[in-house]
Amino acid sequence: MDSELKKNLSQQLESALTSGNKETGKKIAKRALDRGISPSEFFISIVQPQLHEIGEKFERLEIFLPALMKSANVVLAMQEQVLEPALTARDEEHTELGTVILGTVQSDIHDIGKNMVKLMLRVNGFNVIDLGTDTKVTDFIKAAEIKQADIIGASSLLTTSLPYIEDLITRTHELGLDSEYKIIIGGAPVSETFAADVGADAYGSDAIHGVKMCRQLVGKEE
Amino acid sequence: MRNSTRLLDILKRMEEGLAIEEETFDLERIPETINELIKEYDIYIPEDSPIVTDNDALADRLFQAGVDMAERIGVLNLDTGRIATWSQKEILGAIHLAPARVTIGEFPDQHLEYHREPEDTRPPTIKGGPVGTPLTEDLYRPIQQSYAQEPFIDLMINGTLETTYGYKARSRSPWEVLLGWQEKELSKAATQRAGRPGMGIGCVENSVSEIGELSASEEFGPRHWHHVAMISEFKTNYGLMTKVAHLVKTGSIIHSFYNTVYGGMAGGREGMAIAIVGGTILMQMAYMTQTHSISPTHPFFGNTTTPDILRAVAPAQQALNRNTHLMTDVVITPVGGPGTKTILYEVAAQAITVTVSGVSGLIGPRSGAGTETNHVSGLEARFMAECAHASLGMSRREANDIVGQIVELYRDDLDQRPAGKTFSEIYDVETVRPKDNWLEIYEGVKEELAEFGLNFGCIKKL
Repeated sequence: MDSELKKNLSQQLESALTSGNKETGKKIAKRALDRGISPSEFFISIVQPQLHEIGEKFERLEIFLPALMKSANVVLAMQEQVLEPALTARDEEHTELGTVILGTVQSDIHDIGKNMVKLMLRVNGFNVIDLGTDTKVTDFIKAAEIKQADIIGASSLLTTSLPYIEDLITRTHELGLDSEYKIIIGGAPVSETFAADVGADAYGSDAIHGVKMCRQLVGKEE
Repeated sequence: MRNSTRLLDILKRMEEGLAIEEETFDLERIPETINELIKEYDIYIPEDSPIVTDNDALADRLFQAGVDMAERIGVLNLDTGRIATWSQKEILGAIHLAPARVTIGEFPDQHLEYHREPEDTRPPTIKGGPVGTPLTEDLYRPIQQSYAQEPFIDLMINGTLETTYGYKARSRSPWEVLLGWQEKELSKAATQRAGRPGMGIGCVENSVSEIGELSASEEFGPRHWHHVAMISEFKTNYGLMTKVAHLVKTGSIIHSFYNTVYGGMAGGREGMAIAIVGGTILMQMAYMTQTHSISPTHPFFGNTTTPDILRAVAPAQQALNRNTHLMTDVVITPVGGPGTKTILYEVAAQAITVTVSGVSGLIGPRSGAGTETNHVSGLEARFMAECAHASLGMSRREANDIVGQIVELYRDDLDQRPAGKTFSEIYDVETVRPKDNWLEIYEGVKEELAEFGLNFGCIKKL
């Protein structure tokens, strides 16, 4: 890709992501495709560096959740309405890191931390299916099967909802699905020790660490 | 003022209000309204502004912004999918009729909590305890006793049980009944052993859903301090409203609380400050509570003591305490745990900040961010009380000078999360007395802070 073109597209996209303007974002993506840039090249060279920077700004708390949400929505609109329809099978491997089924476990209605994880995963290129709060074990597993997910992410903010995390892991083992889906867990009472004890594949201490661990689970990070 | 008629009206509003998708409420209604109000009322709290501001004009603008926020956003009931809203006239009327004082606990150990104003020279109520931190069954009673026996602690707030009768318990299940009853037995044993059998207790901590509260609340009694959470941000459900209905009909004291997240839907310092004011008002409107607490939490550390959070809490508390007679509390959640200097620095900074900003009560500390089992002790609550008492009579400007120096002592430790030691490592479990290793750290930090101008010699007690 021509370096001048890359610079122009990056600048325009930065402005669209900051303002949360979905229409502008889609126009930029269309313009790139019209210039012969493949969806995967556009995503890797233009979108991902911007998203990485946005993620880092959130990590430093220079921007907040509403700004992260606006950027994520622009990217989602670009992906769903412009890039995905133009994707070839080869492209798909490059633009999406994997599908994550995400939810807060049964009896627990805390969702802010889980929403942060959702947005951070989305801006980092994961397809996230959010099941919301108070999610039954069977609903996690059903959604993972339907969406052919790579990862199940379960959040618990209460010591008394932790047993439902154990249930989720036990049930996937009983069904022989533990090799199909990696399970990552997080939330205030969850620790690395607890994750190891119950047999989770990974533990995310916060939204940023959670993304890093999900990248590891899909083999994109050491 | 609260009564069944008002309760009926609240429930009706939650069933007949505007229907909205939760995502639209979270991602559009809240941030858009708060951003509009930041501009409309010129709310500006820069990073280099004083931690303990004495800008009364800012506090008054924040109050009006909070009233507008409450009116424009309302409370979403997740079970009905509808928003209960109130007009500005209704909001101001309810605030006017809300209680300014409440007696908590039973004879002869009851305590009077009252509204305070910024730079009020009367001491705030000290509500010491682990605030939901998980405790093991064997240490639950001695840990709670370590708070109840402290003379400067006026009320005790409970931790949660990690297990019940050896079993892992699940919320919203019959286990909650057993947890609630066991919490009552153990915490009452703690106040009894401390020689304060009527001491007010913050309860039912093991009641995530309504089950624990409905089962155990009458065992505690209506004069204790019953907790009802609001869901972040500005949301409730029928389970929580069931608690409210039960507590109203049993004539019980209600404390409402929630923790807005720094950098979350409300945004940064300015948005958080508006959310504290508006959220407190909404808890009063939806729950008809006697006491309220909103304690913003850091998204990555889980604490309430980072300088940016204190910068939002100080003007927001001043806004409420200058312009209403509501009773406002603050939960102090340090990242540090007992046995570390960090926890004491964090507790001191926040205790001073909120005491001179006029809070009615200080709750906690929720040591080690409330997540480490048994990493709590009564000594850090004694220290919280001493810092609050030592800052009485101090101007906000003087407090800011001291807090500024204290913050520098822990700012760089926050991302290390020094969880400290477990209760049995720093207390003699049999005698329930702090061990020398913990006492030495505590005495050393007091000497250090005395050099900044914190006078621990002039402790007042009404």
